[in-house]
Amino acid sequence: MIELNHVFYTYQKTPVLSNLSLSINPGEFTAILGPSGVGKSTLVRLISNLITPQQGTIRINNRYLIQSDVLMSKKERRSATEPIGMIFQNFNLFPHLNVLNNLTLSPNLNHEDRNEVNKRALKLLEDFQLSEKSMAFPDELSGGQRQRVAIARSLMLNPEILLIDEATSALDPERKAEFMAILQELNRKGMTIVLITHDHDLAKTYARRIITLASGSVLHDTSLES
Amino acid sequence: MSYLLSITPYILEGFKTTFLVFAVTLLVSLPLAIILATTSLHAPRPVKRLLSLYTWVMRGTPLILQLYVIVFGLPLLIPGFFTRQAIIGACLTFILNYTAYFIEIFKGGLITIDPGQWEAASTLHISRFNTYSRIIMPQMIRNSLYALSNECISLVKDTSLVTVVGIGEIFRNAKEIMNRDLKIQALFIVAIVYLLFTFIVIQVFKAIEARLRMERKSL
Ligand SMILES: Nc1ncnc2c1ncn2[C@@H]1O[C@H](COP(=O)(O)OP(=O)(O)OP(=O)(O)O)[C@@H](O)[C@H]1O
Ligand SMILES: [Mg+2]
Repeated sequence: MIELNHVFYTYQKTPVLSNLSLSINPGEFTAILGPSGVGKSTLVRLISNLITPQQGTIRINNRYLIQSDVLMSKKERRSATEPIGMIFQNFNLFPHLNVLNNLTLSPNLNHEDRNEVNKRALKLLEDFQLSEKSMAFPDELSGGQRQRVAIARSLMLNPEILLIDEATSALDPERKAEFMAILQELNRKGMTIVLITHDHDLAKTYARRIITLASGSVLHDTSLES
Repeated sequence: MSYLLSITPYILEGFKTTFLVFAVTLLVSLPLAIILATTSLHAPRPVKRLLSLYTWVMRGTPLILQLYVIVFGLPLLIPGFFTRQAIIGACLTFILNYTAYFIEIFKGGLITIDPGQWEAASTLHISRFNTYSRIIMPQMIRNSLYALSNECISLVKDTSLVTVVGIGEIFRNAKEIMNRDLKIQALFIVAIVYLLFTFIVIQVFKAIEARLRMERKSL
């Protein structure tokens, strides 16, 4: 459950989000649409605690990042974002680590059992047809492979919510369909998906809810539930 | 030939000092610069200013002047300081000077790192310390290798400057022999030693680079 209430966000002097409210329920597959520069990335960056709003309330699974304009402590925000995984437009893989180590770095640093972490990573790589690439480095992968590594990396932390910022724009139609099939499958297993995209058709095909942003807040909120 | 053999041991005797200055400078300056460069990234502004001032002064004045100030100047200010051990003052000078250069090299390696790396680390719940040590630092060092190898070659040659504060190293010992025998051969030996030394430094860096490439292929 993601809830935003009366959220305001301003970059230095540019107001981006103003009085934005929305809530996303567990298990939803939501697409966020809107013109370039409207604040879609800003929205997911707020939810994943990469930036903090000046005003408003943001709550994730009953834990607050900010409550009635009062920012929670770093520690509280950190634990509030635990259920969240994020995929960036350019994936931000770690270029100095091979695919396997990209996946295992965070769990290993959190002192999880190394054997178990390794097994989990290899299983995910297998699921995503990346087994042969486990020793490859990010710059040796195709765009589609990088994207699958990015998903696998965030799945290593067992997120309940996956935020995906514009991760399909660089892909050809076939790769796009593959990627969306992965997301659908994850969603079918109960994961909440929030997908930012410019692609209205893509949104309509896969998402069950479409939120359109305009001038800093929600313009349309449409459920496509049949 | 026998002349060459007879003077070589004395010249090589001076190489001990040359190597000592080189090794101590590297062993202290490199880690120090790695730490200072990475922490300066998110340090408060006054700390950043101070660090810039430091690197400006150290890079903006001749090393030979710095040697004079620290080895001869400081004892004037603080009587008894370093007077017997010029080598300590010399090493200190080299450390201060080379740390400044290394900091700037590492900073160059830092600015090419995509800020998205921090964001990815944050969304993967990797702590700030671990982000520095496991993600930022390794990339910074990789990005800096080429410039570092150049700087290390400079360091090899700069060690000959300690002769101006009266420390006997390879160059000074050779000069003594030349002045005594009025023969130039000693200088050739010095040139060969420096060439061998820099050759080894170059090979070490090549090996590190090759290792990084190998890791890519075979890990
Ligand atoms: N770091 C920043 N500093 C200042 N302004 C910024 C910064 N990042 C974004 N902005 C501004 O905030 C506004 C919203 O940016 P945001 O990236 O959220 O848009 P977006 O909807 O994701 O656009 P796109 O579809 O092009 O990705 C834009 O006007 C942008 O110029
Ligand atoms: Mg964007």
